[in-house]
Amino acid sequence: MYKNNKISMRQAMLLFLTCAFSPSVRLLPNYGALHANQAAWLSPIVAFIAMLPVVYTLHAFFKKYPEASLSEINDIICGKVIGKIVTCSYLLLIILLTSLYVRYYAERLLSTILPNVNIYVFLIPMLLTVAIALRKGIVVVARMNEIIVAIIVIFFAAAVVSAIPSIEPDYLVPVSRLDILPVARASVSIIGIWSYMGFLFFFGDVINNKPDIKKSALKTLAFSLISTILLIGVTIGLLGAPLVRVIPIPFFAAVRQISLFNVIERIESLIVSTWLFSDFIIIAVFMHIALCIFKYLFKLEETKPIVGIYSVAMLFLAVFLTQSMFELYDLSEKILITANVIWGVPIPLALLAIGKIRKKI
Amino acid sequence: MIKLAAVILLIGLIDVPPMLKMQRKKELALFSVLAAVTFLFGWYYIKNPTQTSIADLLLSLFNMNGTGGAGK
Repeated sequence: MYKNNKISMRQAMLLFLTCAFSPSVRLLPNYGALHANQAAWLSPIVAFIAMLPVVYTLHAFFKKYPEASLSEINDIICGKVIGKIVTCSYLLLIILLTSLYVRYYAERLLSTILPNVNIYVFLIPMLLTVAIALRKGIVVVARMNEIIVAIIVIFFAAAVVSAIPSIEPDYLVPVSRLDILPVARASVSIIGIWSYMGFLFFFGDVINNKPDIKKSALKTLAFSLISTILLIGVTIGLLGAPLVRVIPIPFFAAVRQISLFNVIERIESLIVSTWLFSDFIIIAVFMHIALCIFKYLFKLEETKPIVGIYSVAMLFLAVFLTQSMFELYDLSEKILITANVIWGVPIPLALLAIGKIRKKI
Repeated sequence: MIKLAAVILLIGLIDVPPMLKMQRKKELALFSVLAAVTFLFGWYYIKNPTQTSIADLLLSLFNMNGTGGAGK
């Protein structure tokens, strides 16, 4: 499975699941309740349907070019100059997303468990750990993630199962045809996060069995569909849409309410710890994607020598990114989610169309 | 400022000798550019810690400042 310093398609999909966990917990219940109220739990279905063409596109790309990365495919489809411009646009988005997630990780710890602490206390150890892991290569990160994803799934399942008896069904209904447009609007944030699946293929040259992408991606999206419905449904079912709309991290508040027979309480600390794992993986994966794009653009032999300096650059970009938590929310919800959707869905579809017209795909 | 320069210098001491040894000129060039950008970025931030942030610049660019959103 680990031959030739490559990771399997299954490991790549597990990386996607871990990457999606942290932003999903932070954003989706809020965003869903804001745009679709009690019907928000239906929005993952719309997102699933919207992602199907992306899966087909990735399948078409890698059926034709099984050993290539997305950067190479951009060049093949659009030509060297335009292809590189497209790849650079992805690089800018990935750099912004990396600094966003580095900052979110630190702000979350500051706002949940350790307020009044210097932000560098959180930023430096995380970026140092990520840099050490990335110097060992993505294979090591993918192997670590196999354990991390199991921990996240167990904790999430435990939180959901414990919460189900306390859910108020009245908070999740009524749902009517009038909710179709709000549900579609709420699905934008989910599509934005699920579009990370495509971004992983910028290191597609180190992923094995890419012709199996359709089967693996559909299975992963089906799992994401169920878990996202549960995430939004449980949060709104416990707190109600009006409250979920205004609380910064409502899943955290919902989990705080869980009590099993008055014996097991305050399991939110487990959720915070799983978040840390998820943040580690998302920062590592996004940094690796950016390094792989640098490697392709500058025709480097390896990325190991620039991991350290790139981590320091991300440290300053993260502190330079925003002045407050509110700006961070605004940047994430109003600009980067839309950017994710544009770079995650229409651009790959446009590339496929251009590839078909130019007979490259 | 001294701490920033020391961090960049330390990373240079770790990463540059292997690159020189293996004649990795492209890696060395990119490393130098990233180190210079990081130093300038860090220096600018340390000099003006309350300057306009990247988020504020982007939100102003798209005219989206203070229009509300989820979680607030």
